[in-house]
Amino acid sequence: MELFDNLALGFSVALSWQNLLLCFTGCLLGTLIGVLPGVGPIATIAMLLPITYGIDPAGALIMLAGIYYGAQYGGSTSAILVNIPGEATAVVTTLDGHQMARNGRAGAALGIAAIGSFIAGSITTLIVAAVGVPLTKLGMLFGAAEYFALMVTGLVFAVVLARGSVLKAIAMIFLGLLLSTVGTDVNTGQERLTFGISALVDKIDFAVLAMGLFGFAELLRSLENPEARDVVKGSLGKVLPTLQDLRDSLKPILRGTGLGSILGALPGNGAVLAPFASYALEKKLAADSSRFGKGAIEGVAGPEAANNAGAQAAFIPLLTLGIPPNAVMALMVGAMTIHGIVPGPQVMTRNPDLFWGMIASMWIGNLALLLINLPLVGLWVRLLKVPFRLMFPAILIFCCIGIYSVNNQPADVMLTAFFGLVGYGLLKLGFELAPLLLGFVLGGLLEDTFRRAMDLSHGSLMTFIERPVSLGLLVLAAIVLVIAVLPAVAGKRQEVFAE
Amino acid sequence: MPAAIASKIRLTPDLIGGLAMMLLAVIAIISCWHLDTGSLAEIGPGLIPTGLAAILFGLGAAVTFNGFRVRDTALQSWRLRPILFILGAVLIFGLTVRSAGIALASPMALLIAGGASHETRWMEYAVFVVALTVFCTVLFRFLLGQPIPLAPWLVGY
Repeated sequence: MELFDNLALGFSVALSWQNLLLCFTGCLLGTLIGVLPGVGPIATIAMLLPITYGIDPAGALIMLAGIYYGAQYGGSTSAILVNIPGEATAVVTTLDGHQMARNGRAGAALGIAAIGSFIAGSITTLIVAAVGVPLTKLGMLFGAAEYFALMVTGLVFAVVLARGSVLKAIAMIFLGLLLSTVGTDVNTGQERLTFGISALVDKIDFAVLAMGLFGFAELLRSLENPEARDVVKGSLGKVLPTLQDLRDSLKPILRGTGLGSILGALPGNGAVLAPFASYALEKKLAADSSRFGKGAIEGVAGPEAANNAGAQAAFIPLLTLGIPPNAVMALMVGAMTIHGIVPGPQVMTRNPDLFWGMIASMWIGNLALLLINLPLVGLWVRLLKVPFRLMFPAILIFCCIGIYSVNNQPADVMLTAFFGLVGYGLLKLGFELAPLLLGFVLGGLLEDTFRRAMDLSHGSLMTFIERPVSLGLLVLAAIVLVIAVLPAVAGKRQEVFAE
Repeated sequence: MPAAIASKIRLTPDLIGGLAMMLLAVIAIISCWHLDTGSLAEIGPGLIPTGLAAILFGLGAAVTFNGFRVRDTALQSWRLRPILFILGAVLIFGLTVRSAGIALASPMALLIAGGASHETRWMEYAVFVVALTVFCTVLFRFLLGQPIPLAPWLVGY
């Protein structure tokens, strides 16, 4: 079987001592930073990105993936123990996870989250490996017009899945797209929107924007409402779930995995929706739904599995088509570019060791998480007890050093401060920042594919409609967008996010 | 504007946000004015940014309009203290890291950052700043080998 040959190649790469060590270190560091309340995976990865610069490409990406899983799991840990989700996808975990912690079962909640994530991760690794080859072949057939249409569809999904007003989310996408044009135009070498600032000539670095919007802006927001953090006191209870717990959780985990891997593979950050969908499903299927919200283990197991499956399935569009479906994957693109790898369908044939090594390391990363987290739960609890007055300066200085290290440019640090202010202002005005970042990330690719499509069609916009695949994608995007703004569905959408 | 009309306009997030988008779009369009837009068959450097800015202007107008219509959300106030001290600390770090090096730029930035929270206990914080500086210097400069200046004024690199 070709699949197993490929996986064997992957494991031979991922199981080298160096890569194994990198994977473990990544998971550990990712959890360490990600567990800090208010620090999500984006900020964590941006902070730790410079660490990977000196490593070979495969090792660097394996480590980054480890950091990503670690940060995800760290977010769930702070959701369970302190009731503060590190990011949107951990919100659901606070509902029953924190209640379990209050009932003296924090250990079991953390344990089932780790086990659920591991099972989900193992299955999704196989899915990613299985669909990798066919999707890559499909990607090879795509021309500029199809790519353009696919990204537009992805952005529409992102708008629909963002919280709050659809209109404001679209505005944020376009602001992100506009920001992506800042700098020297690749085709003509002319400066655009640089306002004579030399730091902008080389385009805005993705890490700078991400750290400003998701690092500093969040920090400013946390400083203004010093939340009374109630770290769970007293005993954590047993970390290993009981046999009964496992029996109750197995089906939710499998269902969550299914939801997560389907939604996560959508090219528009569908992973965000997976835990919500899983929670709603489990609540509907439960014999006694009144237990939910009071510490039902299914309410932790299902969403956590969905979360992890979604996080991993998000690699599918990136690895096969070169399209980052969310901000974290965009950071991966940044990391790949630094190592001279252009993401896209050609990666699999040109760098098979990297492609399959990364997929194999997903499974190893999930195993590492299980091995790290179960014994180290006590350490995370102690870390969460560090008061915020000492935590925020540490986060601040890590961000500063991290940003400086990206290009060794002091101007980048100052630009990040500026974007921190912009992000804070936008948050205050009720704008979501995730669509902005996604627009920025896809902006370059969109402009490039649009220009190539126009070159090929001699300036006829009809090319997007004449080509069947492109037409199909655009029709899908239009349908999704129309459905989302229909009053009936719009109300439902509010409900989903309010829950 | 007459007081009667002014009192009818309520400053909502959408109103301010929409106007800000429109302003940004206008600035972008003016800034791209000198660039050749070309045609769809031969796209010039100015076409895409100008087009995007024009759409952003339209979206900003729609958000503004929404701000007039839906008036139930109030404007949130800005807290100046964290902004001033946090962003000030970041700026100081950026301005001094080349000349002062990580060993001096970090404690300077950290000391400013301490002002951002009224929970800061300065004696404890001073000790913490020293410890954190040593930690960061060792970690980033020596363990990770980042090419960040150490203390040029003292050791020359």
